[in-house]
Amino acid sequence: MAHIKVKNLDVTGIDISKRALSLRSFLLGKGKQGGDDRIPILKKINFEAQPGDRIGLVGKNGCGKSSLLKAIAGIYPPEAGSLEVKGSIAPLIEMGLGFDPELTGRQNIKLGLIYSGRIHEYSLELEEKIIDFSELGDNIDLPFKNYSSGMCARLAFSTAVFQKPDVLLLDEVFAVGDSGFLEKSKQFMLNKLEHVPIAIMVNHSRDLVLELCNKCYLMERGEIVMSGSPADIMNVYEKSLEQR
Amino acid sequence: MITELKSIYHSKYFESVFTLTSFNMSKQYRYSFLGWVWTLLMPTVQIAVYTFIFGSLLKVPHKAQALYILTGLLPWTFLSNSLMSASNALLARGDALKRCMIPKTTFAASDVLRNLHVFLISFGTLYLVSLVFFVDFSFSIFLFPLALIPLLIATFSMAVMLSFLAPYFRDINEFINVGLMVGFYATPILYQIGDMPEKYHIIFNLNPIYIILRPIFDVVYSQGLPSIESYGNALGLSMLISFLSYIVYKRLRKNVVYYL
Repeated sequence: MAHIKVKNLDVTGIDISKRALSLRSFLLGKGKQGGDDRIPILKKINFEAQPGDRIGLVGKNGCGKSSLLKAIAGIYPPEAGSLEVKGSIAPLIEMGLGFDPELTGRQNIKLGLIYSGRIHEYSLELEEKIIDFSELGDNIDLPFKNYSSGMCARLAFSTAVFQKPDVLLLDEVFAVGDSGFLEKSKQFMLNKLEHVPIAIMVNHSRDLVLELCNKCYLMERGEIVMSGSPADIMNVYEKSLEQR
Repeated sequence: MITELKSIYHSKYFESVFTLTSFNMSKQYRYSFLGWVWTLLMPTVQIAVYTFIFGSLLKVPHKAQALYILTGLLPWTFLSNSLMSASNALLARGDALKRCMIPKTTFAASDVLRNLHVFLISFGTLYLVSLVFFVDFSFSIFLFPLALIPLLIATFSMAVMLSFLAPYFRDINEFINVGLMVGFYATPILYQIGDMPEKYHIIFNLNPIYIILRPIFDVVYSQGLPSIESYGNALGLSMLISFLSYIVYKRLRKNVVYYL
Protein backbone atom coordinates (compact mmCIF):
# COMPACT_ATOMS: atom_id res chain seq x y z
CA MET A 1 0.00 0.00 0.00
CA ALA A 2 1.29 3.40 -0.93
CA HIS A 3 2.36 5.77 1.75
CA ILE A 4 4.67 8.68 2.43
CA LYS A 5 6.33 9.38 5.75
CA VAL A 6 8.47 12.46 6.21
CA LYS A 7 10.21 13.00 9.54
CA ASN A 8 12.24 16.08 10.51
CA LEU A 9 13.36 16.48 6.92
CA ASP A 10 15.98 19.11 6.20
CA VAL A 11 17.01 19.97 2.67
CA THR A 12 19.95 22.29 2.15
CA GLY A 13 21.01 23.76 -1.15
CA ILE A 14 24.32 25.26 -2.13
CA ASP A 15 24.89 28.76 -3.44
CA ILE A 16 27.49 28.07 -6.09
CA SER A 17 28.23 31.73 -6.74
CA LYS A 18 29.58 31.99 -3.20
CA ARG A 19 31.39 28.71 -3.51
CA ALA A 20 33.30 29.96 -6.55
CA LEU A 21 34.14 33.12 -4.64
CA SER A 22 35.39 31.26 -1.62
CA LEU A 23 37.49 28.98 -3.78
CA ARG A 24 39.10 32.04 -5.28
CA SER A 25 39.72 33.60 -1.90
CA PHE A 26 41.00 30.29 -0.62
CA LEU A 27 43.53 30.15 -3.45
CA LEU A 28 44.53 33.78 -2.95
CA GLY A 29 44.76 33.20 0.79
CA LYS A 30 42.42 35.98 1.76
CA GLY A 31 40.36 33.96 4.17
CA LYS A 32 36.70 33.21 3.77
CA GLN A 33 35.09 36.03 1.86
CA GLY A 34 32.34 34.07 0.25
CA GLY A 35 30.57 33.50 3.54
CA ASP A 36 28.11 30.73 4.09
CA ASP A 37 27.30 29.03 0.83
CA ARG A 38 24.56 26.81 2.22
CA ILE A 39 20.95 27.77 1.66
CA PRO A 40 18.35 26.10 3.83
CA ILE A 41 15.57 25.04 1.48
CA LEU A 42 13.39 22.93 3.77
CA LYS A 43 13.50 22.87 7.56
CA LYS A 44 12.12 20.20 9.91
CA ILE A 45 9.35 18.99 7.65
CA ASN A 46 7.00 16.43 9.19
CA PHE A 47 4.04 14.89 7.48
CA GLU A 48 2.44 11.67 6.45
CA ALA A 49 0.20 10.64 3.61
CA GLN A 50 -2.00 7.55 3.33
CA PRO A 51 -4.07 6.29 0.42
CA GLY A 52 -7.05 8.58 -0.05
CA ASP A 53 -5.11 11.68 0.93
CA ARG A 54 -5.33 14.72 -1.33
CA ILE A 55 -2.83 17.13 0.13
CA GLY A 56 -2.64 20.76 -0.87
CA LEU A 57 0.52 22.80 -0.22
CA VAL A 58 -0.20 26.49 0.17
CA GLY A 59 2.12 29.43 0.63
CA LYS A 60 3.79 32.41 -0.96
CA ASN A 61 6.31 32.11 -3.80
CA GLY A 62 9.62 30.79 -2.58
CA CYS A 63 8.26 29.24 0.60
CA GLY A 64 9.40 25.73 -0.39
CA LYS A 65 6.27 24.12 -1.84
CA SER A 66 7.90 22.99 -5.07
CA SER A 67 11.08 22.06 -3.22
CA LEU A 68 9.08 19.77 -0.97
CA LEU A 69 7.62 18.05 -4.04
CA LYS A 70 11.14 17.69 -5.45
CA ALA A 71 12.38 16.22 -2.18
CA ILE A 72 9.57 13.67 -2.20
CA ALA A 73 10.32 12.84 -5.82
CA GLY A 74 13.95 12.20 -4.85
CA ILE A 75 15.42 15.07 -6.87
CA TYR A 76 16.65 16.98 -3.81
CA PRO A 77 18.67 14.81 -1.42
CA PRO A 78 17.73 14.97 2.28
CA GLU A 79 20.36 16.62 4.48
CA ALA A 80 18.89 15.33 7.71
CA GLY A 81 15.79 13.51 8.83
CA SER A 82 14.08 10.72 6.98
CA LEU A 83 11.90 10.35 3.96
CA GLU A 84 10.03 7.15 3.25
CA VAL A 85 8.04 6.72 0.08
CA LYS A 86 6.29 3.48 -0.79
CA GLY A 87 4.83 3.15 -4.26
CA SER A 88 5.56 4.63 -7.64
CA ILE A 89 5.72 8.39 -7.99
CA ALA A 90 4.72 10.53 -10.94
CA PRO A 91 6.16 14.00 -10.44
CA LEU A 92 4.34 16.37 -12.78
CA ILE A 93 6.54 19.23 -11.71
CA GLU A 94 7.06 20.59 -15.16
CA MET A 95 5.71 19.28 -18.40
CA GLY A 96 7.64 18.83 -21.59
CA LEU A 97 10.82 18.11 -19.69
CA GLY A 98 13.76 17.24 -21.91
CA PHE A 99 11.86 18.03 -25.11
CA ASP A 100 14.24 18.84 -27.92
CA PRO A 101 13.18 21.49 -30.47
CA GLU A 102 15.18 19.84 -33.24
CA LEU A 103 13.32 16.53 -32.99
CA THR A 104 9.83 15.73 -34.20
CA GLY A 105 6.82 15.61 -31.91
CA ARG A 106 6.81 11.83 -32.16
CA GLN A 107 10.45 11.57 -31.12
CA ASN A 108 9.81 13.99 -28.29
CA ILE A 109 7.15 11.68 -26.89
CA LYS A 110 9.88 9.08 -26.42
CA LEU A 111 12.24 11.68 -25.04
CA GLY A 112 9.61 12.78 -22.53
CA LEU A 113 9.21 9.16 -21.45
CA ILE A 114 12.97 8.82 -20.97
CA TYR A 115 13.15 11.92 -18.80
CA SER A 116 10.29 10.73 -16.63
CA GLY A 117 11.86 7.27 -16.32
CA ARG A 118 9.03 5.54 -18.17
CA ILE A 119 10.69 4.46 -21.38
CA HIS A 120 9.88 0.83 -20.57
CA GLU A 121 6.20 1.69 -20.80
CA TYR A 122 6.62 2.83 -24.39
CA SER A 123 4.55 1.04 -27.02
CA LEU A 124 3.02 2.06 -30.33
CA GLU A 125 -0.32 1.85 -28.59
CA LEU A 126 0.71 4.36 -25.93
CA GLU A 127 2.18 6.59 -28.60
CA GLU A 128 -1.12 6.56 -30.50
CA LYS A 129 -3.04 7.31 -27.30
CA ILE A 130 -0.81 10.30 -26.64
CA ILE A 131 -1.07 11.62 -30.20
CA ASP A 132 -4.85 11.16 -30.16
CA PHE A 133 -5.24 12.99 -26.91
CA SER A 134 -2.98 15.86 -28.00
CA GLU A 135 -5.09 16.29 -31.20
CA LEU A 136 -1.92 17.04 -33.14
CA GLY A 137 -2.73 14.69 -36.01
CA ASP A 138 -0.19 14.77 -38.84
CA ASN A 139 1.71 17.60 -37.18
CA ILE A 140 3.22 15.01 -34.86
CA ASP A 141 5.95 14.36 -37.43
CA LEU A 142 6.95 18.02 -37.74
CA PRO A 143 9.97 19.32 -35.82
CA PHE A 144 8.96 20.45 -32.36
CA LYS A 145 10.44 23.91 -32.96
CA ASN A 146 7.72 24.60 -35.53
CA TYR A 147 4.95 24.06 -32.99
CA SER A 148 2.94 26.91 -31.54
CA SER A 149 3.14 27.27 -27.77
CA GLY A 150 -0.35 25.80 -27.47
CA MET A 151 0.68 22.75 -29.48
CA CYS A 152 3.80 22.33 -27.34
CA ALA A 153 1.72 22.44 -24.19
CA ARG A 154 -0.79 19.93 -25.57
CA LEU A 155 1.92 17.43 -26.49
CA ALA A 156 3.70 17.91 -23.18
CA PHE A 157 0.49 17.41 -21.22
CA SER A 158 -0.50 14.32 -23.19
CA THR A 159 2.94 12.74 -22.81
CA ALA A 160 2.98 13.37 -19.09
CA VAL A 161 -0.46 12.21 -18.03
CA PHE A 162 -0.81 8.70 -19.37
CA GLN A 163 0.55 6.91 -16.33
CA LYS A 164 -0.86 5.14 -13.33
CA PRO A 165 1.28 6.04 -10.33
CA ASP A 166 0.61 5.45 -6.63
CA VAL A 167 1.60 8.99 -5.80
CA LEU A 168 0.87 11.98 -8.01
CA LEU A 169 2.83 15.18 -7.42
CA LEU A 170 1.35 18.20 -9.16
CA ASP A 171 3.06 21.55 -9.31
CA GLU A 172 0.59 24.10 -10.66
CA VAL A 173 0.23 21.94 -13.73
CA PHE A 174 -3.37 21.35 -14.29
CA ALA A 175 -4.81 22.17 -17.64
CA VAL A 176 -3.35 23.63 -20.79
CA GLY A 177 -4.20 24.78 -24.29
CA ASP A 178 -7.09 26.69 -25.85
CA SER A 179 -10.54 26.62 -24.29
CA GLY A 180 -11.58 23.29 -25.84
CA PHE A 181 -8.44 21.49 -24.80
CA LEU A 182 -8.40 23.31 -21.47
CA GLU A 183 -11.71 21.75 -20.46
CA LYS A 184 -10.68 18.32 -21.76
CA SER A 185 -7.34 18.34 -19.94
CA LYS A 186 -8.98 19.58 -16.75
CA GLN A 187 -11.54 16.76 -16.84
CA PHE A 188 -8.76 14.27 -17.49
CA MET A 189 -6.75 15.53 -14.56
CA LEU A 190 -9.77 15.53 -12.22
CA ASN A 191 -10.49 11.97 -13.22
CA LYS A 192 -6.85 11.06 -12.61
CA LEU A 193 -6.96 12.67 -9.19
CA GLU A 194 -10.01 10.69 -8.27
CA HIS A 195 -8.31 7.37 -8.93
CA VAL A 196 -4.75 7.90 -7.75
CA PRO A 197 -4.10 6.62 -4.19
CA ILE A 198 -2.17 9.70 -3.01
CA ALA A 199 -1.98 13.16 -4.54
CA ILE A 200 0.06 16.12 -3.37
CA MET A 201 -0.47 19.38 -5.18
CA VAL A 202 0.77 22.91 -5.20
CA ASN A 203 -1.87 25.29 -6.40
CA HIS A 204 -2.73 28.93 -6.07
CA SER A 205 -6.35 28.57 -7.08
CA ARG A 206 -8.58 28.68 -4.00
CA ASP A 207 -11.42 26.91 -5.77
CA LEU A 208 -9.29 23.98 -6.88
CA VAL A 209 -7.74 23.51 -3.45
CA LEU A 210 -11.14 23.58 -1.75
CA GLU A 211 -12.65 21.28 -4.32
CA LEU A 212 -9.92 18.66 -4.48
CA CYS A 213 -7.99 18.53 -1.23
CA ASN A 214 -8.93 16.96 2.06
CA LYS A 215 -5.83 18.17 3.91
CA CYS A 216 -3.76 21.29 3.61
CA TYR A 217 -0.38 22.54 4.78
CA LEU A 218 0.65 26.16 4.97
CA MET A 219 4.32 26.73 4.29
CA GLU A 220 6.54 29.67 5.16
CA ARG A 221 10.32 30.01 4.65
CA GLY A 222 10.84 26.31 4.13
CA GLU A 223 8.74 25.18 7.07
CA ILE A 224 5.27 23.80 7.52
CA VAL A 225 3.71 26.34 9.87
CA MET A 226 0.17 25.06 9.99
CA SER A 227 -1.90 22.10 8.94
CA GLY A 228 -5.64 21.65 8.82
CA SER A 229 -8.68 21.55 6.63
CA PRO A 230 -8.41 23.26 3.24
CA ALA A 231 -10.97 25.89 4.22
CA ASP A 232 -9.14 26.89 7.43
CA ILE A 233 -5.73 27.00 5.79
CA MET A 234 -6.97 29.00 2.81
CA ASN A 235 -8.54 31.55 5.18
CA VAL A 236 -5.33 32.00 7.16
CA TYR A 237 -3.26 32.17 3.98
CA GLU A 238 -5.48 34.75 2.35
CA LYS A 239 -5.50 36.88 5.48
CA SER A 240 -1.71 36.84 5.54
CA LEU A 241 -1.72 38.00 1.94
CA GLU A 242 -4.00 40.91 2.74
CA GLN A 243 -1.74 42.10 5.52
CA ARG A 244 1.13 42.43 3.14
CA MET B 1 28.61 -0.83 -6.29
CA ILE B 2 26.58 -3.98 -6.88
CA THR B 3 23.30 -2.10 -6.72
CA GLU B 4 24.58 0.43 -9.26
CA LEU B 5 25.64 -2.33 -11.61
CA LYS B 6 22.21 -3.88 -11.20
CA SER B 7 20.46 -0.66 -12.06
CA ILE B 8 22.68 -0.25 -15.10
CA TYR B 9 21.81 -3.77 -16.14
CA HIS B 10 18.12 -2.84 -16.02
CA SER B 11 16.64 -2.86 -19.51
CA LYS B 12 15.09 0.56 -18.88
CA TYR B 13 18.56 2.06 -18.60
CA PHE B 14 19.78 0.56 -21.86
CA GLU B 15 16.62 1.57 -23.66
CA SER B 16 17.07 5.16 -22.50
CA VAL B 17 20.71 5.20 -23.55
CA PHE B 18 20.03 3.69 -26.97
CA THR B 19 17.09 5.95 -27.71
CA LEU B 20 18.99 9.08 -26.68
CA THR B 21 21.93 7.98 -28.79
CA SER B 22 19.86 7.36 -31.89
CA PHE B 23 18.11 10.74 -31.51
CA ASN B 24 21.39 12.57 -31.12
CA MET B 25 22.79 10.85 -34.18
CA SER B 26 19.72 11.60 -36.26
CA LYS B 27 20.15 15.25 -35.32
CA GLN B 28 23.86 15.50 -35.95
CA TYR B 29 24.00 15.53 -39.75
CA ARG B 30 20.36 16.27 -40.50
CA TYR B 31 20.98 19.52 -42.32
CA SER B 32 24.44 18.83 -43.67
CA PHE B 33 24.95 18.19 -47.36
CA LEU B 34 27.40 15.32 -47.05
CA GLY B 35 25.83 13.93 -43.89
CA TRP B 36 27.40 10.70 -42.73
CA VAL B 37 30.24 10.98 -45.22
CA TRP B 38 31.85 13.46 -42.83
CA THR B 39 32.54 10.74 -40.27
CA LEU B 40 34.69 9.03 -42.90
CA LEU B 41 36.12 12.08 -44.60
CA MET B 42 37.54 13.66 -41.48
CA PRO B 43 39.71 10.69 -40.35
CA THR B 44 40.75 9.95 -43.94
CA VAL B 45 42.11 13.44 -44.41
CA GLN B 46 43.73 13.37 -40.97
CA ILE B 47 45.44 10.06 -41.64
CA ALA B 48 46.63 11.23 -45.05
CA VAL B 49 48.07 14.48 -43.66
CA TYR B 50 49.72 12.93 -40.61
CA THR B 51 51.10 10.05 -42.65
CA PHE B 52 52.67 12.42 -45.12
CA ILE B 53 54.13 14.77 -42.50
CA PHE B 54 55.29 12.27 -39.90
CA GLY B 55 56.22 9.63 -42.44
CA SER B 56 58.45 12.11 -44.26
CA LEU B 57 59.90 13.63 -41.11
CA LEU B 58 60.70 10.30 -39.55
CA LYS B 59 61.61 8.72 -42.87
CA VAL B 60 59.45 5.65 -42.39
CA PRO B 61 57.67 3.82 -45.22
CA HIS B 62 54.33 5.54 -45.80
CA LYS B 63 52.33 2.33 -45.96
CA ALA B 64 53.38 1.19 -42.52
CA GLN B 65 53.01 4.70 -41.17
CA ALA B 66 49.45 4.96 -42.52
CA LEU B 67 48.42 1.69 -40.86
CA TYR B 68 50.04 2.76 -37.60
CA ILE B 69 48.22 6.09 -37.57
CA LEU B 70 44.94 4.47 -38.56
CA THR B 71 45.35 2.06 -35.63
CA GLY B 72 46.07 4.77 -33.08
CA LEU B 73 44.26 7.86 -34.29
CA LEU B 74 40.71 6.53 -34.48
CA PRO B 75 40.64 5.07 -30.94
CA TRP B 76 42.22 8.30 -29.75
CA THR B 77 39.51 10.35 -31.49
CA PHE B 78 36.88 8.14 -29.88
CA LEU B 79 38.41 8.69 -26.45
CA SER B 80 38.85 12.44 -26.78
CA ASN B 81 35.46 13.13 -28.38
CA SER B 82 33.73 11.02 -25.76
CA LEU B 83 35.41 12.87 -22.91
CA MET B 84 34.72 16.29 -24.41
CA SER B 85 31.04 15.67 -24.99
CA ALA B 86 30.54 13.81 -21.71
CA SER B 87 32.03 16.66 -19.71
CA ASN B 88 29.05 18.72 -20.84
CA ALA B 89 26.52 15.93 -20.48
CA LEU B 90 24.97 17.12 -17.22
CA LEU B 91 25.66 20.84 -17.50
CA ALA B 92 23.93 21.09 -20.87
CA ARG B 93 20.78 19.53 -19.44
CA GLY B 94 20.90 21.31 -16.11
CA ASP B 95 17.42 22.79 -16.17
CA ALA B 96 15.71 19.53 -16.97
CA LEU B 97 17.78 17.52 -14.47
CA LYS B 98 16.67 19.83 -11.68
CA ARG B 99 13.10 18.78 -12.29
CA CYS B 100 13.18 15.08 -12.94
CA MET B 101 14.52 11.79 -11.68
CA ILE B 102 16.56 9.95 -14.26
CA PRO B 103 19.83 8.07 -13.72
CA LYS B 104 22.34 10.80 -14.45
CA THR B 105 24.92 8.48 -15.94
CA THR B 106 22.53 7.91 -18.85
CA PHE B 107 23.78 10.98 -20.68
CA ALA B 108 27.50 10.28 -20.46
CA ALA B 109 26.80 6.69 -21.50
CA SER B 110 24.85 7.87 -24.50
CA ASP B 111 27.65 10.25 -25.52
CA VAL B 112 30.17 7.43 -25.34
CA LEU B 113 27.90 5.13 -27.31
CA ARG B 114 27.40 7.71 -30.06
CA ASN B 115 31.16 8.18 -30.41
CA LEU B 116 31.71 4.43 -30.32
CA HIS B 117 29.29 4.03 -33.19
CA VAL B 118 31.14 6.62 -35.26
CA PHE B 119 34.48 5.05 -34.32
CA LEU B 120 33.47 1.53 -35.33
CA ILE B 121 31.99 2.62 -38.63
CA SER B 122 34.95 4.77 -39.61
CA PHE B 123 37.49 2.23 -38.40
CA GLY B 124 35.76 -0.64 -40.19
CA THR B 125 35.48 1.23 -43.44
CA LEU B 126 39.00 2.63 -43.43
CA TYR B 127 40.44 -0.76 -42.49
CA LEU B 128 38.64 -2.39 -45.40
CA VAL B 129 39.91 0.32 -47.73
CA SER B 130 43.46 -0.13 -46.49
CA LEU B 131 43.17 -3.90 -47.02
CA VAL B 132 42.55 -3.19 -50.67
CA PHE B 133 45.47 -0.79 -51.04
CA PHE B 134 48.30 -1.49 -48.67
CA VAL B 135 47.62 -3.89 -45.84
CA ASP B 136 47.85 -7.68 -45.87
CA PHE B 137 44.92 -9.39 -44.27
CA SER B 138 45.57 -11.10 -40.96
CA PHE B 139 43.22 -13.17 -38.82
CA SER B 140 44.40 -11.22 -35.80
CA ILE B 141 41.87 -8.52 -36.70
CA PHE B 142 39.15 -10.78 -35.28
CA LEU B 143 40.67 -10.13 -31.86
CA PHE B 144 39.93 -6.43 -32.31
CA PRO B 145 36.75 -6.49 -30.13
CA LEU B 146 38.73 -8.11 -27.33
CA ALA B 147 41.53 -5.55 -27.68
CA LEU B 148 38.96 -2.78 -27.43
CA ILE B 149 37.59 -3.78 -24.03
CA PRO B 150 40.13 -1.90 -21.86
CA LEU B 151 39.58 1.27 -23.92
CA LEU B 152 35.80 0.97 -23.57
CA ILE B 153 35.94 0.47 -19.81
CA ALA B 154 38.34 3.38 -19.35
CA THR B 155 36.44 5.74 -21.64
CA PHE B 156 33.03 5.05 -20.11
CA SER B 157 34.37 5.43 -16.56
CA MET B 158 36.19 8.66 -17.27
CA ALA B 159 33.20 10.04 -19.18
CA VAL B 160 30.89 9.44 -16.21
CA MET B 161 33.43 10.90 -13.80
CA LEU B 162 33.93 14.03 -15.90
CA SER B 163 30.20 14.57 -16.39
CA PHE B 164 29.86 14.72 -12.59
CA LEU B 165 33.03 16.73 -12.00
CA ALA B 166 32.22 19.45 -14.53
CA PRO B 167 29.27 20.97 -12.60
CA TYR B 168 31.48 21.25 -9.49
CA PHE B 169 34.55 22.55 -11.26
CA ARG B 170 33.58 24.55 -14.29
CA ASP B 171 37.22 24.87 -15.36
CA ILE B 172 37.32 21.18 -16.09
CA ASN B 173 36.43 21.69 -19.75
CA GLU B 174 39.54 23.81 -20.23
CA PHE B 175 41.63 21.27 -18.36
CA ILE B 176 40.33 18.54 -20.65
CA ASN B 177 41.13 20.56 -23.76
CA VAL B 178 44.68 21.21 -22.61
CA GLY B 179 45.12 17.66 -21.36
CA LEU B 180 43.90 16.15 -24.61
CA MET B 181 46.13 18.44 -26.63
CA VAL B 182 49.18 17.38 -24.62
CA GLY B 183 48.05 13.75 -24.68
CA PHE B 184 47.66 13.80 -28.44
CA TYR B 185 51.34 14.57 -28.98
CA ALA B 186 52.70 12.81 -25.90
CA THR B 187 51.12 9.49 -26.84
CA PRO B 188 52.82 7.50 -29.58
CA ILE B 189 49.93 7.51 -32.03
CA LEU B 190 51.45 9.62 -34.80
CA TYR B 191 54.95 8.20 -34.34
CA GLN B 192 56.22 4.99 -32.84
CA ILE B 193 58.16 4.65 -29.63
CA GLY B 194 61.07 3.30 -31.62
CA ASP B 195 61.35 6.62 -33.47
CA MET B 196 62.18 8.37 -30.22
CA PRO B 197 65.54 8.44 -28.37
CA GLU B 198 65.96 5.39 -26.19
CA LYS B 199 66.19 7.28 -22.90
CA TYR B 200 62.59 8.50 -23.28
CA HIS B 201 61.09 5.06 -23.89
CA ILE B 202 60.31 4.53 -20.22
CA ILE B 203 58.16 7.68 -20.19
CA PHE B 204 56.20 6.59 -23.25
CA ASN B 205 55.72 3.14 -21.83
CA LEU B 206 54.25 4.61 -18.65
CA ASN B 207 51.79 6.80 -20.55
CA PRO B 208 48.39 5.50 -19.39
CA ILE B 209 46.69 6.18 -22.72
CA TYR B 210 49.38 4.21 -24.51
CA ILE B 211 49.01 1.34 -22.06
CA ILE B 212 45.28 1.25 -22.76
CA LEU B 213 45.78 1.41 -26.55
CA ARG B 214 48.58 -1.12 -26.63
CA PRO B 215 46.45 -4.25 -27.26
CA ILE B 216 44.85 -2.50 -30.24
CA PHE B 217 48.29 -1.85 -31.74
CA ASP B 218 49.26 -5.47 -31.07
CA VAL B 219 46.25 -6.78 -32.93
CA VAL B 220 45.83 -4.31 -35.80
CA TYR B 221 49.30 -2.93 -36.48
CA SER B 222 51.58 -5.77 -35.40
CA GLN B 223 48.98 -8.29 -36.58
CA GLY B 224 49.60 -10.67 -33.75
CA LEU B 225 48.18 -11.76 -30.44
CA PRO B 226 48.29 -9.14 -27.70
CA SER B 227 50.91 -10.21 -25.20
CA ILE B 228 49.54 -11.27 -21.85
CA GLU B 229 51.59 -8.53 -20.28
CA SER B 230 50.26 -5.70 -22.42
CA TYR B 231 46.67 -6.94 -22.23
CA GLY B 232 46.91 -7.50 -18.49
CA ASN B 233 48.35 -4.02 -17.98
CA ALA B 234 45.63 -2.44 -20.12
CA LEU B 235 42.83 -4.29 -18.42
CA GLY B 236 44.24 -3.68 -14.95
CA LEU B 237 44.69 0.02 -15.62
CA SER B 238 41.17 0.35 -17.01
CA MET B 239 39.80 -1.35 -13.90
CA LEU B 240 41.77 1.03 -11.72
CA ILE B 241 40.43 4.01 -13.66
CA SER B 242 36.88 2.76 -13.34
CA PHE B 243 37.32 2.22 -9.61
CA LEU B 244 38.66 5.76 -9.13
CA SER B 245 35.85 7.14 -11.28
CA TYR B 246 33.34 5.26 -9.21
CA ILE B 247 34.68 6.83 -6.01
CA VAL B 248 34.43 10.31 -7.51
CA TYR B 249 30.93 9.60 -8.85
CA LYS B 250 29.75 8.28 -5.49
CA ARG B 251 31.02 11.35 -3.68
CA LEU B 252 29.60 13.88 -6.11
CA ARG B 253 26.29 12.47 -7.22
CA LYS B 254 24.26 13.39 -4.14
CA ASN B 255 24.57 17.15 -4.36
CA VAL B 256 25.24 17.51 -8.07
CA VAL B 257 21.70 18.80 -8.63
CA TYR B 258 22.59 22.01 -6.73
CA TYR B 259 25.54 22.70 -9.00
CA LEU B 260 23.70 22.46 -12.29
